[in-house]
Amino acid sequence: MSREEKVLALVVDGFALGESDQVVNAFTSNGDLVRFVAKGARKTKSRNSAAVQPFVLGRYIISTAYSLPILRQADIVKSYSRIRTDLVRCTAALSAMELIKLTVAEAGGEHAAFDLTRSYLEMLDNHPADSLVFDAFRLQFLSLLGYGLVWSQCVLCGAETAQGRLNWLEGGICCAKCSDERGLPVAADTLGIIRRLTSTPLPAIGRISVTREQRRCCSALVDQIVVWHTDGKTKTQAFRNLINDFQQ
Amino acid sequence: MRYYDSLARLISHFQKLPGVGQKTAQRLAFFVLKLPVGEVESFAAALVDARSKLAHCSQCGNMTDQDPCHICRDGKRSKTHICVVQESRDVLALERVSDFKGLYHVLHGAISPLEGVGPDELNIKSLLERVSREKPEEVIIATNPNVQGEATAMYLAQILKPLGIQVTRIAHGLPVGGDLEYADEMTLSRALEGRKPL
Repeated sequence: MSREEKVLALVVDGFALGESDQVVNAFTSNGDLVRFVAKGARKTKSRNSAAVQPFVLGRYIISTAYSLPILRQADIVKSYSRIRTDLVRCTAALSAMELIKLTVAEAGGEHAAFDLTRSYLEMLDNHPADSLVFDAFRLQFLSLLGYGLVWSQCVLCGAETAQGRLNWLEGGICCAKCSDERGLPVAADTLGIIRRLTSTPLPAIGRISVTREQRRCCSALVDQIVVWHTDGKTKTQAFRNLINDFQQ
Repeated sequence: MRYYDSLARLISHFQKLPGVGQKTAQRLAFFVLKLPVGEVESFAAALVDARSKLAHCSQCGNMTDQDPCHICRDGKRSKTHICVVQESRDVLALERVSDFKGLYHVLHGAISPLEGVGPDELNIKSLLERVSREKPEEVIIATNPNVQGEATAMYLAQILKPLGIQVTRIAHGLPVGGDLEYADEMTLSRALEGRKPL
């Protein structure tokens, strides 16, 4: 059995280890999370420093002969440089990486989730940040990992409903007849947009026409969904809100 | 293996240091035990002295044993340039160059949304107050060239530019002595962006 593994992966995050090493978490094209040590990556002259920065897409050769795998070679496939030089885009990309870190299991095996993330980063690199595209990415990503909620009809009775309450425990929207007061109320226009966001490919999201208020309601709802699925462990939301307020 | 209480305590204290595990802590402890008593006393006194006397400069946030620090007190230094760095050790690195004759401002970290570190957790408020008060010509942002450092630089530029101050970023590029063929695409692209006429 080979003790070296070659992976195509997106760097999710990392943290310092010792004097100049870095522990890197990466999301592989197989949909798994891998962790490895990039030795000397924090030194100015290291060849691997750039390749282990968050949201770099690269090809990595990892030696798995140790309890914590060690990076042997790294080649950058795409660095998404325009994301790095724009604070709003950079914050959105970091939030996407956080979602991956908090929801993907070590052996998740959802390569469609990797493709979706890559598609989102491509969009973010080529177009200004759009909160609706970010919301669509988050909803579709969670759905691919099996955390999708039922929006198309009442999750309890199956009846079509224009509005309702989001019942976390039942896993979707409940109509007026089935819902109790505990669910989160979702207005008709927000529900309509959410339904489109869950089913529209990311490049076509721009064609969905929404008001500023509808956009705000949508993002607030998706934020709550992410908080629910991650047990409130998200840390990037506060900074994202600060930057968005700053832009407005 | 059981140690005498005093030795176990010494090992456990060494283990609190970053990057020091059980084995290294044991080695350090046994090394200390071989030192002359006078040297151990001097070492312990230096630790206590540094911890009790060193504090952050009220103006720039740098580590100092006198407030304001020797750099802020130095009348020969230009007050028109403020160089913003992440940590006090970055001031030491820049001072080694001795080309920069301006003042510093230490942030004590960088914005890191993934770790929940935002602007409120850093020494940014005092930078804004200082810039409004001292009106420097230029603020040079010398945070690390990684995602956190870049996010901090972009955020600082956004809040400082409306004050009418020139905000610059230290150059990125190839390290001296390195071979071009080994440079990664991000570094090369930034080196090309930051090229200078000869």
